[in-house]
Amino acid sequence: MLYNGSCHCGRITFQVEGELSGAVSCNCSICQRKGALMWFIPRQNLQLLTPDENASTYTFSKHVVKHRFCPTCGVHPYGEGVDPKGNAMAAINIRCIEDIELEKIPVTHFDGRAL
Amino acid sequence: MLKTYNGRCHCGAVTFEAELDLTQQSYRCNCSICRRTRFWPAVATPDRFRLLSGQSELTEYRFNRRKNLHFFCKTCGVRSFGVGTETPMGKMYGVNLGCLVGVTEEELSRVPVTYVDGMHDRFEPPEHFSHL
Repeated sequence: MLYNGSCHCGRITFQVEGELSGAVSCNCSICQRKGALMWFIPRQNLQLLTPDENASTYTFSKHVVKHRFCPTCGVHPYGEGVDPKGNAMAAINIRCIEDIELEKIPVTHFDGRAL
Repeated sequence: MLKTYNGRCHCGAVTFEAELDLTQQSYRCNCSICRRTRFWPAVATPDRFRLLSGQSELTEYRFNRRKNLHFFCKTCGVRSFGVGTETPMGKMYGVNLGCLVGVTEEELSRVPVTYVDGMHDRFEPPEHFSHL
């Protein structure tokens, strides 16, 4: 299925292809501040409809995950990283996807703070 | 009971202190910006919020009627607080509970939450709110 999403102001818009069967909520130092509900997909399934450079990038700790956010409205629609096998992945913040019933998406809680 | 808390964005450019009562209501809202940021504020009157650093590191975002000031850190994008200029309680600071330091998970889990229907401009619980 194809989903459309965006930040708040529209500077970043994207399409995601996949089956949205669940999302992850994490309590680590950045996730507890951002409150994202993350859906992990192969990076190739995320198609940015706006230029890549429209998003700012924040990294910390091991600097392996690129936390992308809109410099105009401050919304964090996605992140980019690599899975343990070396595959490029994206973490989509499903709060930025339109036309889904968020409360029906099962959420798994991840204790990132304990890592 | 009011207590002074320290808080910061993720990268540390923005730091603040606020006097908050975590036994009082915090808020979650389903409006277009709160849905995306899952903003979870405790509220403070302006005299109970002090920005300690990072004024020049903040970007301000406004939309629609432009009455609410949404601030986030230019470096890490974290939204530590916002200012509502015409809330039902007057001008108030909304302090992101996720940005407080020295507060345990257990303490956060006990903060009462009121859900509001910002999508329809109502200060009442929306029909669906478990995802907020």
